Amino acid sequence: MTRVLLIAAAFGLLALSPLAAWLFDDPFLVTLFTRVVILALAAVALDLVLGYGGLVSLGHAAFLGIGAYTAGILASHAFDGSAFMTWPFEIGGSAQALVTWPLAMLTGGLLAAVLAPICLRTAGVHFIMITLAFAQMLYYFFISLPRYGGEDGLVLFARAEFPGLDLGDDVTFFYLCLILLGGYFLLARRLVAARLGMVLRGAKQNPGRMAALGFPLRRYQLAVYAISGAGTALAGALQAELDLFVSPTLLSWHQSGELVVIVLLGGMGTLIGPVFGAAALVLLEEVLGRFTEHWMFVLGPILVLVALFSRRGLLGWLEARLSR
Amino acid sequence: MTAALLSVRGLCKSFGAVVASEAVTLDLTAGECLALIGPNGAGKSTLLAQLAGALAPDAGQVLFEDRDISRLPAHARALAGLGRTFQTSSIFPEFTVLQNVMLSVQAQSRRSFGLWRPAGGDVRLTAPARAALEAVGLDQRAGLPAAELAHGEQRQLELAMTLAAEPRVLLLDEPMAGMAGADSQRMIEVLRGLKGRVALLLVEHDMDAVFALADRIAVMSLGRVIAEGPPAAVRDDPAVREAYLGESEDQTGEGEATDAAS
Ligand SMILES: Nc1ncnc2c1ncn2[C@@H]1O[C@H](COP(=O)(O)OP(=O)(O)O)[C@@H](O)[C@H]1O
Ligand SMILES: [Mg+2]
Repeated sequence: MTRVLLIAAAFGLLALSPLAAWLFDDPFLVTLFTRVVILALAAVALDLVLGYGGLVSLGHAAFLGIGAYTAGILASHAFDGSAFMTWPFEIGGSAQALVTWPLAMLTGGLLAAVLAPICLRTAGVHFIMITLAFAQMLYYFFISLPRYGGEDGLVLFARAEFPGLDLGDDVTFFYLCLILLGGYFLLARRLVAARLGMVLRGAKQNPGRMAALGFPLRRYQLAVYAISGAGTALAGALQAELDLFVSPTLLSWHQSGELVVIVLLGGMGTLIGPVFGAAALVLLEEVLGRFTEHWMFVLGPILVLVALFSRRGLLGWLEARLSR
Repeated sequence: MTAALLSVRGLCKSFGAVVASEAVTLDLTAGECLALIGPNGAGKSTLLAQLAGALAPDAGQVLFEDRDISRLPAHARALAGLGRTFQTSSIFPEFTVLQNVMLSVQAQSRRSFGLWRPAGGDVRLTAPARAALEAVGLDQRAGLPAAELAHGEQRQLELAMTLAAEPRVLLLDEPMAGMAGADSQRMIEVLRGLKGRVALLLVEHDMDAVFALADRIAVMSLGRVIAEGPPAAVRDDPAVREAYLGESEDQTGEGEATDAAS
């Protein structure tokens, strides 16, 4: 019950957050909250595999990056009217969000589906290492593509077009991102209670027993990994639209680590926890960043405290307070 | 060929210098109960693990209904009708008792890609799961997290999970281990009710249970089957008395006392 209240509170506060920009007369706050929403989307997607599947993916930046590059590359071709590929058939660019975002999800999902059979052969520390390694490979791949900016990244000239909406308006873009987060959150929440989610959670607790019961585990884990990859890639595409810039740093291991930190800080295996985690991290970075460049110094101890005093991060702490 | 439902042919497995299975050959016919006994370390659990597909044998074959299943992974064997319980209870501690059993029903249904409808409200899962819990006498505990069950109840839950899959062959690894008297009586009754319908390969140290249930007994020692036959014949076999029963018969009372205490 407290869980439902906290979900309502999280989405309610996010929906009201543009008011803060208006109150403080600081339009930059809208951009800041959009960043919260986008990171939350990626972290909720990561929580599916990390919190519910027990699969510690330290390579989710790969999906964020592939989503951002998919949207960015298509947009850049649309902008200069060139073709993305001409053989065996011609594919041009696109500036339509309804084309580029679903394609970003598709490439993210496909990438996950291709990597998962290899990664899922391993477990524990090896799984962490192999997901990290694949993300690094992708990082160097995109750095080596001068056509798409190489190390400097790819600059976009306008946000994608969306029927009936002007995404160039920051508040409109914010609410669209929030709706997408809500949609993905709903899907994830249904998933973990549905049959697929039961398999996922069972495999985390006792994989040997799952096999003895008759579950071919990997194909279900692969399915969830792909759903997670698609969600993270959508976040990547939105990040590209927000920044009007796609940088290879989206693919860096720092980025993967940040997503894991958000999930742990917010409370893994809760779905809504990562939304709180994303808000906390972005706001901490923003506030502390004003005082010191070394804000990570302060974040470290905070993470240690959360890990020490709450098994389920911020959310666990909030729930314990509220149910008292 | 034979009427055997499950047939083990020359199974070999070594862990370094330890020979856990040495050319093990056994037949299990439909509906019978074959008890597999032998001192600790004889290789009983290792044999069951190889039959269930959790462990790959070094050599030999496992035939199920005359089909070679030696290369099938564990989950495929479970779906083919080979159920198993573990020596140390193997359950899902974070799930409720009911959810544990529902998962077994779900595995057999082979429909697990559902993303939207909550599994908890699905009567196709809950109804058979409740029936299995009732069969082992655990229906009162359905809503409890499995981690909160007492040791004996966890053994019952494990059996319920396996029963819910409606297996044709059941591999049971010491189902009464560590159970109090009344609980193990109940377990014997449940297993007796399965006889004739399900073929049981029962690994058990509790000799009362073995003699109450077994149609045949096979004795393992140091990875080999050293005797096999009807209970009375096995009991009187001099090799068995020496390797196992002779020493165990004196200690039966003692062994049970320590079991109950633990
Ligand atoms: N995974 C393993 N690695 C090494 N040795 C093992 C392993 N599993 C079992 N063994 C050894 O194999 C022998 C048979 O063990 P086990 O099958 O558990 O016996 P039982 O169930 O009859 O008590 C023992 O000597 C045991 O130490
Ligand atoms: Mg054993």
